[in-house]
Amino acid sequence: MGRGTFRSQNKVGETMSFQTNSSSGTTFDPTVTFLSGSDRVSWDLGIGNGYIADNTLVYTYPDTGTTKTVTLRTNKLSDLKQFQGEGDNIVGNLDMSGWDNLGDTFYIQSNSALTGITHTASTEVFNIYQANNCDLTGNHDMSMLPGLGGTFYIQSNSALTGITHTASTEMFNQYYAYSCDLTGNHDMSMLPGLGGLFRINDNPLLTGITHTASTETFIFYYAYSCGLTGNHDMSMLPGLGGSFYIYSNSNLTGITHTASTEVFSNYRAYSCGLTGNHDMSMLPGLGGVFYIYSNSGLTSITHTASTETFSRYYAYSCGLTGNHDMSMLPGLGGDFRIQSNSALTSITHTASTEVFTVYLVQQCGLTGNHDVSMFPNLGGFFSIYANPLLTSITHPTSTETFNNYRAYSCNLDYVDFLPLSGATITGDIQLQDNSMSVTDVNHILVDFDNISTNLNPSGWTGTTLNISGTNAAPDSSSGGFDGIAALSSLTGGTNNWTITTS
Amino acid sequence: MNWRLVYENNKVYALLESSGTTYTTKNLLFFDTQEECFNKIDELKLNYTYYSGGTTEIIFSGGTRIIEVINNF
Repeated sequence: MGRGTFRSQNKVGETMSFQTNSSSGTTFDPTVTFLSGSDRVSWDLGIGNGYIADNTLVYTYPDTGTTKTVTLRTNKLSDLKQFQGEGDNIVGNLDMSGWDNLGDTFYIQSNSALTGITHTASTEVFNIYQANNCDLTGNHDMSMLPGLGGTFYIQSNSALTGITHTASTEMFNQYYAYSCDLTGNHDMSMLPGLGGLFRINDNPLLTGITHTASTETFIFYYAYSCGLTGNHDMSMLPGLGGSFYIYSNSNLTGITHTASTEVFSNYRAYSCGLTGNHDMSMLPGLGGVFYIYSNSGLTSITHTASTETFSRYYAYSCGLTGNHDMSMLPGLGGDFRIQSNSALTSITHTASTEVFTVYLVQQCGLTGNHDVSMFPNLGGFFSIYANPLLTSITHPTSTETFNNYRAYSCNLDYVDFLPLSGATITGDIQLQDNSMSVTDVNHILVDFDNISTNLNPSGWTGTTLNISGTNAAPDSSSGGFDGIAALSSLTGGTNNWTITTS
Repeated sequence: MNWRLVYENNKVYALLESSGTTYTTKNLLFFDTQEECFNKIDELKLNYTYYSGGTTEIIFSGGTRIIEVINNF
């Protein structure tokens, strides 16, 4: 049966009406699907030209966008299952009362003037429910839809303050409610099938999320840039993994995890209010990018053994105290930053063959010797300055390229650079203000001369060294080392170093 | 204490504040302030990346300078 326009005076059946301001610049093309059979609905487009009979309407209004009342007529609304009205410029509230078999796919996204949707009870299963990028306002009541699951998109409704769910045992593979105005606690305790991609980020007034037990695997869990407050309990989600973003929740003081064997490629909990110890001992798949920096009350992090590779590990500007045990992370490498933890007295590493491009541990309270000998591929930017109780550094045998080496303003004595003789130095070495004795300064200069003149001229000539400040000036004999001769050799035309001494 | 700028051709080899002695075969200039060093780098159109702390860097190139955050979120 083809589509037709007719002037019907027959008012039998049931109707639903809604408003649109669709104009001549776009297509008005709502679609409905019946539960079964080959029945057909009719549409009164609100412009006085009768009804158009078709389940898949395609119409272009001739006006510039006046508000029209569209009426759908059918025998029984309960015979209808699917409604698709995305991008149809629907205005105000969409009243789906009577659609008591609504399910499968519901598309209403991208209606920028749609302020609400009224549902009626339906036990049908939803595979896709999309109401994103509208203007849904206030609370969106879905308490009558126990078959909700699959893909649920309601993101980017800037005036949406709440969503009421009812119990559903369906699995959610995507739940997006980000960039709304969700306020207070978001109760998801009735959704045991939550998993996959979960995004509720960028709801600045959202103070809590209540989950229930789910064994589903999470690929994304994004709850960043909200107002999460206190502890965030995730102890009922053993499938957590993938990318976990909960950063920029300044009132978030803790996160409770449960054991998960999933691999984390991203774990970002920076710029929160994490306090005390952060227990990650139940996450053996931790790796990739790990950001927990700028939690000033965070005093420690408990890791468990993980063989995953870390490309970035940022725990700087926290309150880490005492020893930070990383002995269970043999994949550490890439960009490592733990600087500006003034009470951090030591870091225990284990052997890793990963390449380090950045290693920043400056401005801590490192005490005694700092051992990095277990990193044969240490290189790049190495910074350990301003650790006033640091007396020595144990280097690895590395052939990497160092573009900066900063170990000034500590309390270093002699530092053995010979293990780095196979490395290449492209930047400067800063050892000033370590209160080194003449013997220590002489010894270091003699070692550098040996490396640059004999062991690795191509990797070390032209190096810039600052060994001035509170360090003693070199001489020609202290400790049995001729620092003056070494200085002359290094700064001569062959080695071409630039050296500043006291 | 004064600020020192060591350069050769268009490359900066050192920019430091010290009261000690600098030994070099390259060009060495002395300044009262770090900003004067920066201005000289601009004037001479030298290329240099100055790391100011752990999270920012100043990139000098051909007479201009750009401050960049190096956290790479």
